[in-house]
Amino acid sequence: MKSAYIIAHHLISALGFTSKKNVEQLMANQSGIRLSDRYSKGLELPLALIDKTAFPFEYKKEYTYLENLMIHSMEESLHQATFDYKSERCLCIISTTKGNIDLLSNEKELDIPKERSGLGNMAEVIQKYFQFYHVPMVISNACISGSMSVITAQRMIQEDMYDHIIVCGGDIASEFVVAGFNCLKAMSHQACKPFDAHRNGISMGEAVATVLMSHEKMPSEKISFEILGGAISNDANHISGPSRTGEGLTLAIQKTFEMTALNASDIDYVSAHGTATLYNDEMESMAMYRTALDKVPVNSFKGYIGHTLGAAGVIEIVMGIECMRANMLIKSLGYEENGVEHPLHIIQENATKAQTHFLKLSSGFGGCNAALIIQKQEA
Amino acid sequence: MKTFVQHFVHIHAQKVFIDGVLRYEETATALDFAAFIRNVYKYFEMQYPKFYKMDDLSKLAFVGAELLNVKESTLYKSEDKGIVLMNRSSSLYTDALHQASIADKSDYFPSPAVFVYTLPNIAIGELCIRHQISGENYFFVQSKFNAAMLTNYVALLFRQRHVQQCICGWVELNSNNFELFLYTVEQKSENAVKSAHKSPIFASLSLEGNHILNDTDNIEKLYKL
Repeated sequence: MKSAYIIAHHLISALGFTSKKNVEQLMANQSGIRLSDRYSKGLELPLALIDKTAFPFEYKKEYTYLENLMIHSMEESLHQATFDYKSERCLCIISTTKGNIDLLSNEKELDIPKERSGLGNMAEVIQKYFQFYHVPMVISNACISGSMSVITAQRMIQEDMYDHIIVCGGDIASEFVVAGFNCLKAMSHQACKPFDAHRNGISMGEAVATVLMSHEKMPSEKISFEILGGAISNDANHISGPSRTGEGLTLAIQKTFEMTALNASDIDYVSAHGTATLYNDEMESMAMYRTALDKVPVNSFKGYIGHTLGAAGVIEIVMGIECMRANMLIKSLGYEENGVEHPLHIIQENATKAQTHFLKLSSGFGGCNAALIIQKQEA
Repeated sequence: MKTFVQHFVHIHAQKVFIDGVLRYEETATALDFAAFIRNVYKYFEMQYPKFYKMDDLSKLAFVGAELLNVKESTLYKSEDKGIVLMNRSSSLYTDALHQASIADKSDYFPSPAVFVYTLPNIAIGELCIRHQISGENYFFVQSKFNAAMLTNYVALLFRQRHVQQCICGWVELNSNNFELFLYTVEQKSENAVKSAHKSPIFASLSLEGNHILNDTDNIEKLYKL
């Protein structure tokens, strides 16, 4: 069995246009969430939006907003590596929930056919741009898409199906999703407060995140990150409300422990899904309690970048490994007072801690859950 | 590791086939999807009141999965059962309904009952609830049926022991048409469709002891039946 490593990455979010900028802002506890009525005329909502006035690249008119961001992020990632991404041994996985959803309403961008709102069409446009050998695999599994894409890539590299996999997760904020979450009464009216007693919903974010995964470590790097394994489960309980018992997520965590031959005492840090809805955070803390993770330092990055849907797993995995590289635990922004039945060890101030294993959790509509463990290795 | 196709269902062009055999044909012409799928639901005497609350993509997947007859299966634990689906149009059909409800600011009526279905994997969620499936669940979107991607990944899930039984297939619905091809895969061959005595359409499949192997060529051929 081969190992799968993350060898390079690139992030675009409300915190900035590079991984470096994103990590700096995290370490400084700066949030990208601002009140805006851009997608909810007359109603100010906290959103974590990418700064469209500051693109560090030339915007290509024949591509959509999301495609421009994805192309830039993948190019910046590929510049950091030397493998032949046009080879048969390389696959691209695109993780997105809504893709070019703005095309459904945006009458201005008529240069771009509406068919591009089809995720498969978008993937083929990206394939053509990079001249990838294979048509990209598109994973659209609600808010676990990103974590799931990284797990999927790890499994395929493990079996030697590919040498390199480019995982690009992306979703944009839109009137479509903002109106939707708002009608579900799931949108917070202030910056989101994961796991806090006064949490009352999500802050919508947008992001594009790319990781390059490889069967071999980057020889020049002293520190490597290996994806040890992960699992996906379903609550089989409700399509839009998470299980009250945390059963599904518990199962994903237990399977991940089994697969990696690790347990809760080996985990140095957990990056929770932590959307700050009442139900998600309650369910997630229940699952962490049931798997003895309630004493392990945990945060949610949603207070920094909002909920970035199909990008969430990918960007939060990158943030997690960069915190692990720096041996830093980052404050869970928005948290003040415990608001769940089984209190967790929420990181309340930045701290240093030597870290080897990090656990990422994701849950989403449709009852889906994902868990994966990443190990830091020093040469 | 070898895996086998247990049962398969096709729903398209107003017809329903189970294991390659025509079981229902709509006689009324130009029936819309909603009316057609209700007729199929009633014809096969399905009983699941929640069906009526589902969006059209979920209704299609639901009916297809009912006809696969997996619900009695107690051979496997809930967590060892999985679902891997693929389509072309994601949830765009329902997305358009949600978009229409927010297009006009003077007639603004977004509905939670519609919005929750604006993700393709909600259909998977419905099947998981119905059949108590709590294992691996994937929704892939591709511009056309990609038998190799589906088959290769499902094979990996079996090899790595993430699943012991898996509902797989293509569940496509858009404003012009719909098409479902669902099948179950297991490692055991005892339950599998014995094809030798069936219609000539099986002649071109690669078989082992009359059982249909779950491989890309077979899945491609079954899809085109």
